[in-house]
Amino acid sequence: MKRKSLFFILIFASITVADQADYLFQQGVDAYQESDYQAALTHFEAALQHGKESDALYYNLGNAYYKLGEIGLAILYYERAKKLNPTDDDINFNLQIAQLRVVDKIPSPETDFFFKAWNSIKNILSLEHLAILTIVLYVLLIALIVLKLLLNSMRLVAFVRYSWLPLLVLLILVGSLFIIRIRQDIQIKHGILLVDKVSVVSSPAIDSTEMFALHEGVKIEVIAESGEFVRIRLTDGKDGWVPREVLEII
Amino acid sequence: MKSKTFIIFIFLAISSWLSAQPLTVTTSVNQNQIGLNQQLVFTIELSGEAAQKVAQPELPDMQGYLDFLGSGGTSQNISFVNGRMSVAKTFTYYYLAVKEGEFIVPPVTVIYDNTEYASKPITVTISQSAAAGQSQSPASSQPPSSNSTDDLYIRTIVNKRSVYQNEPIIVTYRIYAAVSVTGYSITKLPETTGFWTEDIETPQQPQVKNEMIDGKRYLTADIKKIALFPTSAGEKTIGPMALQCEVRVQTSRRSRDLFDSFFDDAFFGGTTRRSIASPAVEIDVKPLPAANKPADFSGAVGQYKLNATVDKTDVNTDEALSLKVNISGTGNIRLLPKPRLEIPSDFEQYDPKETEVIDRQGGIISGSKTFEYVLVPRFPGEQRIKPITFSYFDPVKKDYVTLSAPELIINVTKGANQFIASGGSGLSKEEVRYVGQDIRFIKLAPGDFQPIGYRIYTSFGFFALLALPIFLLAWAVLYKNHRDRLSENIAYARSRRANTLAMKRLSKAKLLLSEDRQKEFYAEVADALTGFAADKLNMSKAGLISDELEKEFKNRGLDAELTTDYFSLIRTCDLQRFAPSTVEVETMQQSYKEAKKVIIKLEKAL
Repeated sequence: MKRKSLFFILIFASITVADQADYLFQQGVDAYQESDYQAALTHFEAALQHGKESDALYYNLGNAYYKLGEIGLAILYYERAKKLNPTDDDINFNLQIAQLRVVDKIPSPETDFFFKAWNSIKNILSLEHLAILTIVLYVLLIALIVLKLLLNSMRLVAFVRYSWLPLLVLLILVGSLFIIRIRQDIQIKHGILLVDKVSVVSSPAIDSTEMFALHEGVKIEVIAESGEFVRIRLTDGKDGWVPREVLEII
Repeated sequence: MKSKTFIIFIFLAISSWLSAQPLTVTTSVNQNQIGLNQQLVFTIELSGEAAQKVAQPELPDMQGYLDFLGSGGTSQNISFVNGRMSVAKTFTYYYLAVKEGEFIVPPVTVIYDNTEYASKPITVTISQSAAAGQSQSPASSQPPSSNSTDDLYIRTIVNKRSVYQNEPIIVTYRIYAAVSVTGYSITKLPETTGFWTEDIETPQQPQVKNEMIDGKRYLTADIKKIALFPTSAGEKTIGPMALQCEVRVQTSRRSRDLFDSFFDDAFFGGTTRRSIASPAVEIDVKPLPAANKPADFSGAVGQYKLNATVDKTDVNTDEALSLKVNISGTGNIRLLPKPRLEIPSDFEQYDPKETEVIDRQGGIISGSKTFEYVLVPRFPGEQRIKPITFSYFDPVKKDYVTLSAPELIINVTKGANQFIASGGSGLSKEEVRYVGQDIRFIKLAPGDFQPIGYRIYTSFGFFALLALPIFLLAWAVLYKNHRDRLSENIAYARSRRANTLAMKRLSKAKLLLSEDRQKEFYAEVADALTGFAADKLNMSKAGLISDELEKEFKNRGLDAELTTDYFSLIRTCDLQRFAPSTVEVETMQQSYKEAKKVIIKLEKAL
């Protein structure tokens, strides 16, 4: 009896958290519609304080920051939204617009057709959808085998004989993609620079020599950390160290 | 017959003696009697098998009679005669006769395999007057003329014979003529492999000077002047330059040839063509010292000055800025490397425009090179262009010099058109589409909230869905296996079903027990016991004889106690089934429990 009541309290609590986040989200939307971007920002930030995230919330935060001229933060939130939902048109559009305002135009490495094609295939689905697809294919394949084992219908046996191999191939393809994406998600950390300008230095020490400068909003890969410094790499292959506090991980 | 063998033997002996002489050194001069200030060609020839293996022989001491002019190069001739290789290597040298008298050119010795091989000495007579039978310059392709060469020759004058890499050598070709030269043309330009060549301007009409050499009056003229920049270290040769001169002839020959007579009797009197060539010159090129070499040094040699200017120090982000770096001085201007320049990344930078001004007058190569960079500031603020440095090697000081232009400070203010300026250039076609557009409106629905940092692949549901089908599959495989055995094997089927049936009968018996129906109860218990055994052993229940059953039990290794228990229980049942008297409920209960126990034991044992 006691356990049951605790369970209900938990459920109730989570419902109210979702409700509160929803409420704050709506408040933010109302403020934004009245062009009160500062208030909208406050409400969206408060919604985030409840420990829940969504692509729409990040996207709206990005918009609010953009309107307030905070390009770095706008890009950070657009990137976070994109991570949750990589195919959303609005998110990609606004991210492009915001990136126009970034001073550093870092050339992407030479990409050939195949590399581009692979990239777009890889990111065609969000991680979540990819997981669901993998699971569905997996369950389907096993269900087919189980049915074949249990039922003796000749028609079913014929159906399984022709469908299990394509299903298995599809599962291997989707599964591999899924694993690649998980690895990427775990291993590769990207950050957005949030200060106006930072000098990228050659070693993780204050008195080391400056190699080049970067400006707000630029997207960088974080490849190592040491004390107060992080080692970064740009898409064109340049790398160096910057203080940890100048960037925020997406 | 005998004499024939003898001859062959002698022949073999001679040839083996010949082959035993691996090296022959021969020296020769083109003429034994020459006039003062004439050129002498001295040749050393090495022949034999070892000719290829020995180094260039050392030149003999000419005792002040001859001055070394230059080397004419090496030629090698390898031939195979009757499977034996013979090599002849010829070294040619040019000398100038500078002292009168008769002297002996000492033999040239070459050491090979601890044996000394020497040439024969040669006697050379140098006289004041031109000797007879002189030939022309060796590089000439003309047949020897009767005219003497010391009245017309060309000298290669170099300002130094030992230079550093990239340090210029000024080469002057000066013609010496005691005869009247009416014209000349260069038939072969000097070969200058390994050098970067810059022509130095000489007047169109060569300046003619008078010079007295050993009492003879010469007209001299510098006909060509070049600056050579050796591109690598090592021994280099400046090849000979060949000229064809028109020389007026004092005593004209009579010739029956129509054309000859035409030229001979021409307006100016007779002229003849003569070919002369300058001697080749060896240059020793030293590599640049490795010590103190600055990090940014990239090969400039000479004396330079560095100057860097910007056209304005206050710009806004809409404007472009021009940075000019000028290097001036003497040296190989054309090949001057770009100075080291660190442009802050806040500037958009384009490839510099290079302009050079080269001054070829005054006997040296000087000038200046300007690198003009166009910079577009992209970010407001104070921008500093670090001091521009340029390093070169000064062959006079024999050391490296690093020049540095002062740091440039540029104040960048925000331009009116900052947005376009910052993105105006360097935008891809794809990006241009977005210029001037506003962001899209916010999303009105909050979407699916999930805990921050939630990842589906770490969730419980994901793993459950991953594991569940495995269990399902395992169960299905086991179930199928079981069903297959059931359908294939009646004994297996009966044995698997035995327990279930026995338990069914026992529960029925329990029901009868509670209703106190003694006879039916015992019938049911007996049925359960015999049925179980029959099913387990795949025997017919109807015809089951206890003897047969007992034998089968023994066969299966059942222990005796259990067997006796089983049969005594069956006997009790049979007894009570047909007994007229009633028994206590407790006894029935006891029988029921025992029957159950026996069945369980049997299930385990069978």
